[in-house]
Amino acid sequence: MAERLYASKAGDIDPVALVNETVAIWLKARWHMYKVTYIEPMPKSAGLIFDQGALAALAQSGDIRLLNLDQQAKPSGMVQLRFYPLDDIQVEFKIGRSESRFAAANVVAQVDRFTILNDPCLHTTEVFILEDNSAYVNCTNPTAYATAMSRVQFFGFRYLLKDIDKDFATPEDVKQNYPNVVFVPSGSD
Amino acid sequence: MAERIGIRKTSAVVASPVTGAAIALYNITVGRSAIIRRIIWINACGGNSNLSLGQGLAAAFAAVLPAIVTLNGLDGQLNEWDFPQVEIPYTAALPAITLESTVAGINVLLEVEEIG
Repeated sequence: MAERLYASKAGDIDPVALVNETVAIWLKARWHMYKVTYIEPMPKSAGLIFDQGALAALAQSGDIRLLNLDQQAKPSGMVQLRFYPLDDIQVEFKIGRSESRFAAANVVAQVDRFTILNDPCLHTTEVFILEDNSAYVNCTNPTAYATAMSRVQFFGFRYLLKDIDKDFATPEDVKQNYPNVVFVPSGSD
Repeated sequence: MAERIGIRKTSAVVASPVTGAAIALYNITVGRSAIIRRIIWINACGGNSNLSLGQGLAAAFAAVLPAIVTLNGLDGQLNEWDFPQVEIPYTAALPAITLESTVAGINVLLEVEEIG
C-alpha cells in the first residue's frame, strides 16, 4: 500500500506529493489544482540561514522579506519548508506582511528554541511558499540581553508545478474531480 | 515529553556587592523560569567571603540557596550535579537572580537553564 502523503506530516520531512501527482493549493480562498513535474530537496545549509542581525533586549526585527525563498512563476515553483531559529529568538512567519501563519483568533504562535526541543522533526513549523508569494519573518528577542545575531534555518523540498488551470471552492469538489489529490495550505486565505 | 528541556544561558561576570546591597546577576527572560546549572567564581575580596544567590535587590534580597563559602584568592565552581532543582520564576517584581556577599568583590559568572 502506498504511503499516504499530506502536509505537516509528523516525522522527518517528506515531499507532500511525488512527480506526476496532483496537489490542491489553498490560495485566495479557493483550491487551485497543480501537477508536480519536478522535486528536489533543499538541505539544511548556510544558504538557507536568514540572519536578521543584532537585536537589542526585547527588540523586534520588524517584517523582513526573505527574498531568497522566492520561487519562479513560470512554470510555477513552490517550496515546502520547515524552520527553526538558531539563536534565542521568537520567529513569526508571514506570507505577505499581513498574513501571519499559525494564527488563532486572538494569538499567533511563534517558533522559538523550545519548538525544536519539543518537536525535533519540526512538523508543526511546515509552511509552503508558492512562486513569489512574499515570505516574511518578524523576529523578537524575548530576553533581557542583546543578541548579536537572529538566525533562522530553513530546509525542505522545492517543486516545479504545472498549473492545471482549474480551481474549486470546496474540498468535496476537488475530491470528486481528483480523488488522489493532496491538499496544501499556502497562505492568502 | 517526559521532562521539560530548557535553553542554556549565561550571565556576564558580575562583582558581588556587600550584604544588604544585592544587585542583579542574571535577568530571567519574561515568561520563563530559570534553574541554576553552574557557577564559577574567583574571590578577589582580600578575605574569605560568603556568596549568596537569591532574588530581590538591596535589602529586599532573599536567598534561594544556602550561602557558598569562598576563600580569599581562590577560584571555585559548582556544577549541575551540585545544585538542587530550584526553579526560579520570572515575575515583574522579581525579574532577576541577584547576588551579594559578606565581603564585596567576588567575581561571579552563572549558567542557567531557562524553561519556557
